[in-house]
Amino acid sequence: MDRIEKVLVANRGEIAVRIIRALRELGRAAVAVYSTCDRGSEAVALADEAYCIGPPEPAKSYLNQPAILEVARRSGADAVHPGYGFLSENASFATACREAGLRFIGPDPETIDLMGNKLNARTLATAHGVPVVPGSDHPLDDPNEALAEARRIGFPIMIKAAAGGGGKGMRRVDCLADFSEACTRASSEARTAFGDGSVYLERFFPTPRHIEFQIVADHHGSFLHLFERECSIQRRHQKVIEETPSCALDPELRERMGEAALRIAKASNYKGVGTVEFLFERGDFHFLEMNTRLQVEHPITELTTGYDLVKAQILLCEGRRLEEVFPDPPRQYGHALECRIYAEDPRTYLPCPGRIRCLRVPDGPFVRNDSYASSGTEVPRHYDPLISKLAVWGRTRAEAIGRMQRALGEYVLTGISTNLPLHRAVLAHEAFKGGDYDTNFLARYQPLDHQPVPSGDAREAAHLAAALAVFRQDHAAPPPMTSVPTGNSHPGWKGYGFYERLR
Amino acid sequence: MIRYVLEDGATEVGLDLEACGPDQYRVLIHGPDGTTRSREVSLTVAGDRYSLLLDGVSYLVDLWFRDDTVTCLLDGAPLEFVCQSEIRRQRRSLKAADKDETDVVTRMPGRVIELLVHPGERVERDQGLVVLEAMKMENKIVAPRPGVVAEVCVSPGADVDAGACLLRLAPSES
Repeated sequence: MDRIEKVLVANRGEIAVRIIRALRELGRAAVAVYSTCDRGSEAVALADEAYCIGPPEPAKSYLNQPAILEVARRSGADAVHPGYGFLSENASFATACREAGLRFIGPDPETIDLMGNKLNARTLATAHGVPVVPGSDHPLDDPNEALAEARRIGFPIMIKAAAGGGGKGMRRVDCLADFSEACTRASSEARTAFGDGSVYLERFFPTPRHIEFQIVADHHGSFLHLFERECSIQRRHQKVIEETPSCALDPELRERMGEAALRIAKASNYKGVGTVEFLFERGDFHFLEMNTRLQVEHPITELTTGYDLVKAQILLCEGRRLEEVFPDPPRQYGHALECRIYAEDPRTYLPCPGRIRCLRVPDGPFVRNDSYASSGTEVPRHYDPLISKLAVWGRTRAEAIGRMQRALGEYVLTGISTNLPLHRAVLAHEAFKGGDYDTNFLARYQPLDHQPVPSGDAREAAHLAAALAVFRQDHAAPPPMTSVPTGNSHPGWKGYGFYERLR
Repeated sequence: MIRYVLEDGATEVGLDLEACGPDQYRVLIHGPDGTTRSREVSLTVAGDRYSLLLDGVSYLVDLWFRDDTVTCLLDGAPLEFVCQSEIRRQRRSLKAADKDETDVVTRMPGRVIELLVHPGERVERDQGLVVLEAMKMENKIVAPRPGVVAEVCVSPGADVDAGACLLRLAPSES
């Protein structure tokens, strides 16, 4: 067994920090790579070594394989952790790592290749007796053929990127008239995101729940699953809130789905940590896709099983056996929730990158916040707008919900819009509290529209605070700069406002 | 006392302010119904956090400005309104009076992927004008009102910042 000593973290943001934390705990060295706009990031500060790999555009930095491999060589790293997104599901990168004598912390390139093509994955699932969502069985490059195929499957229909994931290149189409434009747009998005514009079609389920199973495998043919995560609270086909266990499963269904997930993991010769996603509609489950990487929402599985999945990835990659990495049979203990805090408009979901002025994150009992941000951090527009992942654990679902509401109440971020108000509204919603929801939850209930408006006195306090803020800046001596934690390059509004008034 | 004006939705509130001690302020509140009340406020500020005491009741408000628009977080719920001194507001309204074109601005920074309209083209409300890519998502910027495209201010491939003007709409001659 070859111990990994130094790991290059080929990612950014919160997940780079998360991986570096695992490496620290294991006593292994961490090498960070960064684009020019991430020089000030937490990952760079926490890593043992850090090297710039290019300008902000992903293609020139976090997707720049030669630059990343060169840093690995120069720093003497013996393994690469790709995180999620970017190169995490890129088989050619995994191959290039292998050829450069580096261990890729993830499955074999052959597995990534097989499961990365969503159509191959569907075929494999079917061959192993796992039900799939009805749809097309080959990529559609020709618009006319796509149209014919859409007619055959029937509307509403989902267009998906064959090489895709994470909601990119994905479109729901309700009628034939809208199909061609949506198909072009999806294909263009897929080409930008994955370098491959081919799409396929799936029947659209009206009220599906998204339930996925965490699987782990060693290099010696042993497999385990660590139960499910329910990720049905979504916007733009991307997850916003996740929880485990799912309210939709009973022990019998959980066992059947876990067993199906393991069948797919075995059939793909999986190694390391991966996730099998299912659509769940009216008691039936259908294989959706397999994610051959660490999931964004892995913390809730960690909270309910007590196992550190990033450490597990590293140890399994060293060739350790499953019994060593998971000595006690995994069980689900209590309930965990995760809210993804995005820099975005809570209603339109449009990204709102920019500089965070002040950030105060919640803590206290059973609260976990995975982030890279602090006061003064710039959320760059080039990448995903994820700021942090707030997760809580409770003995019961009700306790976890109450705890999340408390934690969200403590979370304050000023300077840019976030979806914190949306999270508060969802957690307070009766349908969510009752556990009766599906992926249409946000669109159906518009939970933000039912939030109580601040009462007269509180509103008056806000008015007074704002007027006094302007008054103080117009008429008082400026406060010491140390009390305004904004970056040096960017004057706070006080300075700007004062300047404006002098003009 | 200095007069400040708050425009919160349809409500307009006037506030006369003066300092009357360390962290102490006296306020005259002129409500939309024509009434006037006097209040004493104790205020401390740490970064964006404003802690107010109003007759012993404690309020925490986190707030920041973008131009004259203030965003307040009250128990986490964002509240947006316009707050400016009376003098400044008067100066502003004079400037805005003779402008009849509408700037179509982007609220988010990103890259222009595609222009869907040409100068001189007539557009309907909600018609797509520009496709903008930000954070790997393509978004259509739509017309806020019907009109005629007076000027296109960006070209495909251009990077734009939040608040940048994408194009200008003139009123349609109907």
